[in-house]
Amino acid sequence: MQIELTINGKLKSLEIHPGESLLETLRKNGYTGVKYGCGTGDCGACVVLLNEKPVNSCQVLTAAVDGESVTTVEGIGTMDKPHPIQEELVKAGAVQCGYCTPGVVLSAYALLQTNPHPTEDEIKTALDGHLCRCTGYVKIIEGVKNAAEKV
Amino acid sequence: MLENIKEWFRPESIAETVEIIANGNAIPYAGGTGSRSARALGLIDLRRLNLDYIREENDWVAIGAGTSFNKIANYQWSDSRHILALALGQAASNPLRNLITIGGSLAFRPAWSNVPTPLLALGASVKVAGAPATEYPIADFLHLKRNSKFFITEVKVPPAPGYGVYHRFARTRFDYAALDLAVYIAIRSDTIEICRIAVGNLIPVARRLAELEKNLTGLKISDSGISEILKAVDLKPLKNSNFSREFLLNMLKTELVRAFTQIREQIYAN
Ligand SMILES: Cc1cc2nc3c(=O)[nH]c(=O)nc-3n(C[C@H](O)[C@H](O)[C@H](O)COP(=O)(O)OP(=O)(O)OC[C@H]3O[C@@H](n4cnc5c(N)ncnc54)[C@H](O)[C@@H]3O)c2cc1C
Ligand code: FES
Ligand code: FES
Repeated sequence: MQIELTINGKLKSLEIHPGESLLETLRKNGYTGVKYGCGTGDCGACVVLLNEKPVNSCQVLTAAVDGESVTTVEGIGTMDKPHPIQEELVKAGAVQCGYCTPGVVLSAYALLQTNPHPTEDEIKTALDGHLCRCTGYVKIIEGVKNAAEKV
Repeated sequence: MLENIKEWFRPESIAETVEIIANGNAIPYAGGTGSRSARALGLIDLRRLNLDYIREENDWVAIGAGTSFNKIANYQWSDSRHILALALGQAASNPLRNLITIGGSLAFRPAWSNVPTPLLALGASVKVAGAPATEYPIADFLHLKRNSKFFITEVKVPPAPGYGVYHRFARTRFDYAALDLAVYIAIRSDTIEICRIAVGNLIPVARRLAELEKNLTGLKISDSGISEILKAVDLKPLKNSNFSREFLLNMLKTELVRAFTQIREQIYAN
């Protein structure tokens, strides 16, 4: 079936299978910043912004979001021009293997858009859907706090 | 990839939705977080039905079936209906709470759902379209067969001017709860006039503890015998791979006593 999706601000016309997940659609169209971790909604590696809110793209069927707007990490920053959240996560030592990082960046981005000065508890709630097997979260929270000062 | 899905339906009205459900192998698609295992051939997209709302009416608050957990959790509740917000704001994870809907949760009703327990304590009802279109008190609704060909349109929650508490016990923040508990109490001159105590997750279908409620109604909230009455609760918890049944029953007793302590604190703070 044919759908339209605005991805990182650009309108795309896409041919999809009716049972295809948003994670699958995005990755096969080159948005590989969206990571496949568990496929069951448990890890947060696949998080993207759907109409500016974080969602697990493995839990969304693409057909259901026809006409809506998706932001992936590619729409937040680039290698040459990283977003302050990305810079602060790196500075805080919150990125090791980096597999969880795109999802974390997007959840932090959505949080700071609506709540520019979050408390530590609000940061923890915003990131409660992300598993990081490397850093132990302390550095991630520190990175988001520092980013809040900059954004 | 759900290979079995061949077709998407995008109805524009509730009547059209009911007709599609009745006709064939298509099922509603709400948050999509519980539809993975569905064997349906088609999915019915509910997004065009405008069921994503929280509306204050005179005698109740109406919550559209397509309303997400986060929308309910972030709503400014002016009375003890905020226990629904507490429950849904702790369920699953932030990105999932943006997807999971109250209607999809009531239709799917996994044992770990945190929707039924607060709704039982608040005396809510569930509106269903289809044949026949009707409104069920939540306790009756929870005993309807799952996957029946009905379509949930709205949840109605009456005012809750009394005192409410919600507790959710899980190993970690993002884990299915092993037990959840909601208590709603209305008092007059220090005496318990309305008492609703509901438990979920540790039993297959959430329910109210009618015996406890009966024993507590009419007592002074300060009565020192209340803790003993609460500790007399008896039910057989579901088998759980992390906790023994004995532990869960003891945890329920502890949470009940804590809930009443918290309610007294709310009362004395006023
Ligand atoms: C990792 C994970 C953790 C979770 N943890 C929790 C938790 O701790 N607490 C909690 O409460 N929930 C939790 N959930 C959510 C729960 O398991 C279900 O996935 C959820 O309740 C389903 O709601 P939905 O809106 O996504 O429904 P859908 O997946 O869209 O639908 C579920 C079923 O209901 C039917 N349906 C949907 N809407 C309607 C309607 N209006 N009328 C009739 N039928 C309908 C569908 O056809 C389908 O059969 C979790 C989910 C995941 C993936
Ligand atoms: S891949 Fe989606 S939550 Fe793990
Ligand atoms: S940095 Fe490796 S999983 Fe988070």
